[in-house]
Amino acid sequence: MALSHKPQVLYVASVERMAAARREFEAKDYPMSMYLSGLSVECMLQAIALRNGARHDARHNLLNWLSKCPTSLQDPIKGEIIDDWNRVVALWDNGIRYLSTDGLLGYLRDRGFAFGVSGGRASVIRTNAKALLESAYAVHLRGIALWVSSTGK
Amino acid sequence: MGKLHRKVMRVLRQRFGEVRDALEDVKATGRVLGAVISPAFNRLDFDERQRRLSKALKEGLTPEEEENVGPIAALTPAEVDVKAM
Repeated sequence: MALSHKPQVLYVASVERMAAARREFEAKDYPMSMYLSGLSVECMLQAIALRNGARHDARHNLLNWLSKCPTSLQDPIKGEIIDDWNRVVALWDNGIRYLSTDGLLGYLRDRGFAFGVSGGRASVIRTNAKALLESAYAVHLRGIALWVSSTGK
Repeated sequence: MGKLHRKVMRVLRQRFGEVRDALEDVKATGRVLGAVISPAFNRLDFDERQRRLSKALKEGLTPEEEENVGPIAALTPAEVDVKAM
C-alpha cells in the first residue's frame, strides 16, 4: 500500500496542511492558502473513509469522500456545520494549485464569489481565502474530534 | 437510483424547478447525500440556501426519510461548471 493511502499518514498530513494553510494566509499567498485549506479537508476525509474500510480512488471529489465516511461524521456536518461544508464544496477545486493570483480572481469571479464583496480585486481574493480557511477549519475540527474519539487518544 | 433518492429529487424539483442531481446512494447505510445544483441558489449565501433546502425536505419527506438524508451541498451551476484547470 502506498504511504499516502494509509489513514494515519493522511490524518497527520491533514493537520500539517491546515497549519500550512494558515501560514500561507498570513503570508498573503492566497491561492496556496485556499488550495491547502481544501486539501486538508480532503486528507481528513480520506483518512477517515479508508479507516472505515473504503477503497482509495484518485478522484479529488470531497462529496464522494464524505459519502464513504461513517454517519458519525456525516451527522454533525449535516446538523451543525452544513454552511461550512457547503462553502468548502462550492469554493475548493483541486486545480487551484495551478492558478496565479490573477487566475484565482478570474476563477472566483466566474464562480460567482465576487458578488457582494466590496473593495476591489485584493479584497475579493482575501475575503474568499479567509472564508474558505475558516470553513475548512470547522470541517477539519469535526474530523479531528471523530478521529481522536475513535482512537482513544 | 433508490426510492428515497428519487423522492428527494422530486421534492426539490417541485420547489426549485431546474435541479441537477449530484446525489449518491450509499448502499451500506441506505443514505442519500451529496449535492444538488440549481440556478435557484444563484446569489444566495450558504445559510439561505441551506435554510431553503432544509425547509423543502422537511415539508416533502417523512421524518424517517429525512433522517436518512445526509449532508447535501446546494450549489449553483457556475460553482460546478467553472473549473480551475
